Amino acid sequence: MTSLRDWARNLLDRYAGDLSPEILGQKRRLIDMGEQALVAQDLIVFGLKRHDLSRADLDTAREYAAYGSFGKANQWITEQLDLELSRA
Amino acid sequence: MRSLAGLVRLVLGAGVPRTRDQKIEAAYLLTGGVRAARLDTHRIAANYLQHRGVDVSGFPARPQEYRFKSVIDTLDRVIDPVAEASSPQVAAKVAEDLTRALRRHAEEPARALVRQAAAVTGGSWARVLTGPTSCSFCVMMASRGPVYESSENAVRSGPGKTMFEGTEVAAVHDGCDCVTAFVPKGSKAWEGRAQWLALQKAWDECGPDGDHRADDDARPDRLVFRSWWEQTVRDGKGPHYIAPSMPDAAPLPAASKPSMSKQAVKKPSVKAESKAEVARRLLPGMEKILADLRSQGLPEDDPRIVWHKRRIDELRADLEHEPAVPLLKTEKILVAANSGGGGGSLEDNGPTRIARSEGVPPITASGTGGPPKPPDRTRGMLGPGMPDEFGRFGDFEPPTTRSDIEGFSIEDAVITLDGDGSYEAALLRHNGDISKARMDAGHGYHGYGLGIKISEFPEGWSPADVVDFANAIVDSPSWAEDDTTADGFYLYGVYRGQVGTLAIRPYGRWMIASVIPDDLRYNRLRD
Repeated sequence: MTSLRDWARNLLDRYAGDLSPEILGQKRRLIDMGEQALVAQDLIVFGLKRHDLSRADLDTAREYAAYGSFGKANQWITEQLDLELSRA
Repeated sequence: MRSLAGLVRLVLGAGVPRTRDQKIEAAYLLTGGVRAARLDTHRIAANYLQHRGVDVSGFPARPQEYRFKSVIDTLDRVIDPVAEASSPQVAAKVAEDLTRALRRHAEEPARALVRQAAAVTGGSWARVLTGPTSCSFCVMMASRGPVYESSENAVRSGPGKTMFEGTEVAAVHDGCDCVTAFVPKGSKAWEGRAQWLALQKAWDECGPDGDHRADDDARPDRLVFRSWWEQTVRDGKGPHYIAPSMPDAAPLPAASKPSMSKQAVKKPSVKAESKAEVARRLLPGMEKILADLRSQGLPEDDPRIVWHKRRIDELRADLEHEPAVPLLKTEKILVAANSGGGGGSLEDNGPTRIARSEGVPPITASGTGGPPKPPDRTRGMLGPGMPDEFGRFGDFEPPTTRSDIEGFSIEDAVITLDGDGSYEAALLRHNGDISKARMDAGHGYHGYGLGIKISEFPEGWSPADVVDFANAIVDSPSWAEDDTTADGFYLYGVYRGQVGTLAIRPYGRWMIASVIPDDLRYNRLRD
């Protein structure tokens, strides 16, 4: 499984065109500071709203959620991912 | 091991090595010391096994070769390339991290020999706690007991379910003070057995319907166990889980019993002791025990003597590094003064500050401090005379009110400081590879000296301080910014001189999703 940091970077690169330069820069700095979990969960929510996360992304996100990587939002994100997976 | 800490101090005395040549020079000096220490621990472990009836004649006479590159790699890992080279604080941190890492390298031959003895004799080995504040990862591993006779059994047996196929189950971290105890086949009389059974019971109580798990707590067992252990340490009951023969055990508090109630688990913590305070409390007892052991005629290389000497050295070093002036004695803290926020500077949230004097609780945003007590808000935050709305920050106005943001609890603050367990799980997945584990770290790990995240809270900050920090920024942010990705926003602020960023998110409810002891806006200005 790709590391959470690399996966967050990959998601960010894919959504870069849809984000403002300020937010893009902010999230890149967060990843550099080791806050990849916050960036990943924000982008998961962004992707869930647009229903454009791939099955592989959903599976990866679900796996990290199983490790409890998304802090206080972990349970809520898990529920949203399961909902999206049931639609996929 | 005494000489290892001294050797590190000696090598770093000329300054923190930054260039390749400097690191090579330092590594030449350090490698010999580590190799000597590894010989010592290997020999001590062989003696230990012999005393437990193991024929060690067929075992290797020397530990596995220790490579020069291991020290180079460690130097690369513990030295921050952008930190100020001449800073005494940076040098002290590098010395501490380096000593912890090299000690782990030095102790590995002893652990390896015990594992080998278990494999050869058909016995097993167990991780046994020696420190009253052992980390929750080690405690979880210790709760598995003597299940480690083979990696297959370690994966499939025991209460720790975070094992993964093919991973190194014997992972230890820098600073780990666990002992690898040999358990002869069929033995029920080994050091730490009673403590293992108590920990195993605690683990079971963290499962579904367990006494340590609140009814509405849906977290994985390991996180519930972690919370239980953190509370146990805060209650001063960690020593209950250390075998009496393990000499590092601190004296038990009078009339204390392990807490088993859900109510006790949720009890607010008292302020954590500083390292120097812990050292001052433990040193007299440790020195007395060492004197007693010597009076029994034990040789200087007896494991208990060696262990005591090492711990006494560490405690004395902690005392030496005590700040000259207590951190909070003359500090001034912020009180909520920005009526409705808006446009504060990066350095100061507002014009009104009060002096914080020693022994007098601060007036905090959480209302945990002294008089005058601020009025209660409906949930979480309490602010003296603050409106519930945040007000405008340039073109942005936060889309929620202060009282709609879920309160930031002590449990949240513990995770902010010590992490959510994801790093430890990643450490197991990656066979103890710290750099890979850092890339999988989730939330938190901002405690002083952990070295996992870039930003760390100042030394000595307790979970209660972090709660105050989060609440102070909610009550008196210096700035706020939208994050359209997540439909949330960031709050920036300063509390007791520490800048910070809160990520506020509407994930099911408005919450403080992350507390970062750094100002991201400031970082942007520095870019």
